[in-house]
Amino acid sequence: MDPLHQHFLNQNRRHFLQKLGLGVGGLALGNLLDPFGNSSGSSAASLLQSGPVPFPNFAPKAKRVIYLFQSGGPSQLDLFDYKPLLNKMRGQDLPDSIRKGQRLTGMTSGQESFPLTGSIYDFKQHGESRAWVSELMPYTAKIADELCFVKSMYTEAINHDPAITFFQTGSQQSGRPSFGSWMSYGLGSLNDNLPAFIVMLSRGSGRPNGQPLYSRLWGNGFLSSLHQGVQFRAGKDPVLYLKNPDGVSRKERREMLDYLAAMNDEQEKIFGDPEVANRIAQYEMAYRMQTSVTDVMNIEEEPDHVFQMYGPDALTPGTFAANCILARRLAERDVRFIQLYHMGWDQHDNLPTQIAKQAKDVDQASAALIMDLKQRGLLEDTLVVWGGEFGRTNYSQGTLTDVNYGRDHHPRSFTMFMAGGGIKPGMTYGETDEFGYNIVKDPMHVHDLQATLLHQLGVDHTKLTYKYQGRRFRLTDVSGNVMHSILS
Amino acid sequence: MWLDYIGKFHPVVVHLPIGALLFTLLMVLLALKQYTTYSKAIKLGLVFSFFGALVSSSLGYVLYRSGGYEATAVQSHLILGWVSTASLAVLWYLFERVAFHRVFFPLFMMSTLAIGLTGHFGGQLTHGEEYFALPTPAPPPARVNLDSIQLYSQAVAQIFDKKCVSCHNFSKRKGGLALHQPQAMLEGGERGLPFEMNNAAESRIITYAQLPIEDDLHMPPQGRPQLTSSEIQLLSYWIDQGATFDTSAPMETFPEEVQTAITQFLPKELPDVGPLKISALEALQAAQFRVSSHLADTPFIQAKFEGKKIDPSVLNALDAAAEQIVVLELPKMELPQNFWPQLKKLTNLQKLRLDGTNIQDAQLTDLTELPLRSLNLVGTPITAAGISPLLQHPTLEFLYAWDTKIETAAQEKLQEQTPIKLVFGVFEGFAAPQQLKPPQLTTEKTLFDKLLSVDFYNKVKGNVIRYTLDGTTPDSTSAVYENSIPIAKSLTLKARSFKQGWLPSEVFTEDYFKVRKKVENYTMLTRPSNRYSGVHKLFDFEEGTLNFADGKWLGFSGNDLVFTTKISKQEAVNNVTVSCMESIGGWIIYPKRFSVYARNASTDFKRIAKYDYRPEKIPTENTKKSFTVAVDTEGFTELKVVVENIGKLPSWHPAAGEDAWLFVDEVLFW
Repeated sequence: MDPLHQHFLNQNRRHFLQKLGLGVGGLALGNLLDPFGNSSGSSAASLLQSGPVPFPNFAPKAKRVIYLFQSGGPSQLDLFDYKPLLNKMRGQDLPDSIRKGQRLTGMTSGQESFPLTGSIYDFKQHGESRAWVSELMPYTAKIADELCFVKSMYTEAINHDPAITFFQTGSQQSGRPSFGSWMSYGLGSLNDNLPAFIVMLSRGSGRPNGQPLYSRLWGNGFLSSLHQGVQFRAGKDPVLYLKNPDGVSRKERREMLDYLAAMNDEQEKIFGDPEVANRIAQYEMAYRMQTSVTDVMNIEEEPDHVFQMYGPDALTPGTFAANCILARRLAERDVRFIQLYHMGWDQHDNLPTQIAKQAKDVDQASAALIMDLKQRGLLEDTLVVWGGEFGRTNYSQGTLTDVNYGRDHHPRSFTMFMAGGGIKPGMTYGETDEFGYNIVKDPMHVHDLQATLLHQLGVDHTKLTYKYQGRRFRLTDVSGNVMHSILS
Repeated sequence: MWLDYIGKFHPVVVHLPIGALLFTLLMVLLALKQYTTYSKAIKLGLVFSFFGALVSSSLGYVLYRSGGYEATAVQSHLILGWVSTASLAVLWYLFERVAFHRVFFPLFMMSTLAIGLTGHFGGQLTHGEEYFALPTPAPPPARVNLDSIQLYSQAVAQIFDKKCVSCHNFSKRKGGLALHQPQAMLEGGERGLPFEMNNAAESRIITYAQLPIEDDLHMPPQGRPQLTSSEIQLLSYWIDQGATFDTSAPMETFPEEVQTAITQFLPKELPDVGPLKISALEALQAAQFRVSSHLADTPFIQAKFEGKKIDPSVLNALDAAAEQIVVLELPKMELPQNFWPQLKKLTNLQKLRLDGTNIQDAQLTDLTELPLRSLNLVGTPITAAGISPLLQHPTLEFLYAWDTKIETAAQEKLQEQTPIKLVFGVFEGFAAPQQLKPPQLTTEKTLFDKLLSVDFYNKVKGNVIRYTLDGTTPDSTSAVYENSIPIAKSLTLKARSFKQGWLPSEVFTEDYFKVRKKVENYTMLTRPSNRYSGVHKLFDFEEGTLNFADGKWLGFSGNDLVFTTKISKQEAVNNVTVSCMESIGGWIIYPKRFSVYARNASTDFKRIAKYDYRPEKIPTENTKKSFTVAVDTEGFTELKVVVENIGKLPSWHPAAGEDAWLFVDEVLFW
């Protein structure tokens, strides 16, 4: 084939458009590598903006987000949403007038009856804000006045993967960029030596063999691969394939990368694919991370009182508590989006035993993280989010006994909490009915949460878009309202 | 009445004696050289000054009597006026008699001073006391909290101050009315109260403002700055709401037009400043600042220092962008002395991070003039005395002072003195000693036939694992785990974690079995389920986990586990153990009975041991359990082991009546 023709075929329309700068991605990339290299605006302030759409649109209250994702769907009815009526009506059937034809999962749709069950755990009001917190979360209760509880979250998804994907990407179907990727794309990185989006996982002791998570949850979707979340692990190799192989020195690695970059440059000139430049940048980032990751993961240098604050689990790498200390260390280094997943919150059966263990896994460390950020002056510009992908039913899945019950997935209402980043502390937003089933006041949709978080980061959620396959995509899809009532 | 009118000429006449006396002073000085030339002029000057003073004082007295002035405010002016007049009379007399008497000069100076002071006090009366105050730098605008707008102090009072108070104040009460403070307003004036509570339409302050401008009662008077319509709207709203002085409400609760009116009086979030120069940006970058835009379409920026040392290039870079920097982060830097004057130039700095720097108490006063909202002093050597100048800072909202030299005892007191949120980082309940986690083994193997060595994970700094092999609880004197623990016989290992400052962990317990008979030949009399099969796994020393599908378990649905095995003399054992699991969700229940039968060549099987299992309570979670019976195999050649399935799931189980599962992972002879 004619080589010239081949060249034009390789340089397809999308690459062409991106090269012209119509995609924000190319420019955001420019910002990441060299904030001023490829801009030609006249004022210096305009040079600082990442792309054709200028961010921040508002003076940002938060610079970074720590999202403590409680994967599996924690039971709001046993942790935060106190419903004494359920204890009173224990064992009675969920009235149809309340259920209103809610779609159920295959796990309880065949159940003959839906016996209501309150929590076997005690609830008390805490702090000046008088927030309800169950005895399972004593440390969270202690810091209630720092938190903003949203009792009226709702989603459309009823199963784990679509529901988590919805929270992270704004769509139940996979393939869209994750929240952290959108942030990295829109606001750029604040640290050249670490990725802007870092993910850490931990297993819940309540249900150690619970639902798995997939790395596409922190994928970049159609955004440049530079914005992909990077998973940090406990153990010898926090980031896989980062270490030099045995016998290769850092100097040799440097030389190899230089030569590789030169060859990749040649390729880019020929094919014009922006992903080649991204690849070069990623290799460089990996090279810098060889030292920066070791530094950030060196949790040993933390003084003992820190471990005491986060609880005994923090001494064991890979636990939620240890990840919380790392999250704080990453926040100190200005990583934009720090995502922790704690698994095992899927209490279909044996809820009382399992949830107690789950709560113990996360309670002290979550609270300690918030207070530790506060004492270091970081909470005011770090937004901490705590919550799962949906709630759990007010009726028992399986047989209800005196000491045992289970709960199925419940999308119509659940509780999350937030702290810092300009979110109003010491408040409870929204309300569910006496059955803890439907929202009766101030509902907050997943897209509303996303819009609100973006707003705190200084981003108008309707302006953070990326054109792909002929459509401008948003994290909030075509909806989402900023919930001004919870902003301070 | 005519007299009152004449009184109004006091402010005109007063300037005559002052000028004349100063002229006389010049003459006196010249007369020291050429007395004869100037003595006449001195005399004339003194006469003119005296009569000027006399007329001024008289007119002043008339004006004072006509009212409108507070007696205490006028007193010094009045007395000094008469004193000056009298001393001028004495001077004139002295000069007539003896020319330059030795008292003349001191008295002359005293008169000049007295007349000057009189003028000063007079000026205070007409221009207000603040008129002569030295110029002070304008304080940074106070932070606006839109959740709590104080309608009176943040807006209404400012209208009064701007448009009314110059004539209606403490020392000058036109029409008997003063509007400089709430108390005075409520006293009213000659015509009564300035406003009727809750009724703006009937309130004088509003109706007078709406009179035709020519009207004598129109306020403010013609020629003075007038109230704007939005100011009248705001005043009316305030009066209609009860004209309160100390209530506050969130901004969104006010009507929209009132919100607009209020907004005019609130300090601007960020002032108008010039654009950030590209050279300034480049200088910041070159000095190793990470610069980001604070807000799109504005020149404001945030700057974080990522270099190693604050050198002159850093200070110059800050200078070039002094107006545009809103957020400045300099964590853990060694700040040189010449940094502080530079910092003062950042007139729009709202957030400053100085955590971990060498800032001293003395430098904190430098920060009082910046419009800061957040100041981070974590990990610096500042003290309680040092931060006290900051406590009255008008815009500061957060002050982080954890890990400083401020003692715990002083913290509460400091907080009481200020609305600024002081964060000291003492969080009740987080600092108490806590219990360590029990040690964890690296291996799961607990069954062996010769020798086993076990190891613990021990990654935690300062963590000491102590253990015993005799079943006693480990304490601070027990053996310390350093290298692998060899295990040569059946025993119980107990271990605990110890660490300075922590409570010792719970006891970790593991039973080890040295198996005496390794089962290699056996005959199964029942069949496990196809899904959980592989009979050899019963004797492979591989224990199952709590996950019944991990491939190490044998499952029997509704039926028992029964097998026989030959036993030789050398293999004589004392115990038989069967290890089972229970999982409600998996329909797996512990066996109801476990028996061992034995026979020799000539006899039938005879039961030699049995174990009946009665659960204490209804299970709630997945567990594993071992059942052990003691046996005496002396004289027998074959053993039969029977582990009895409970049969049907019991009544408490969600699937009551269905076939129960029996799960076994190991059968041991030891």
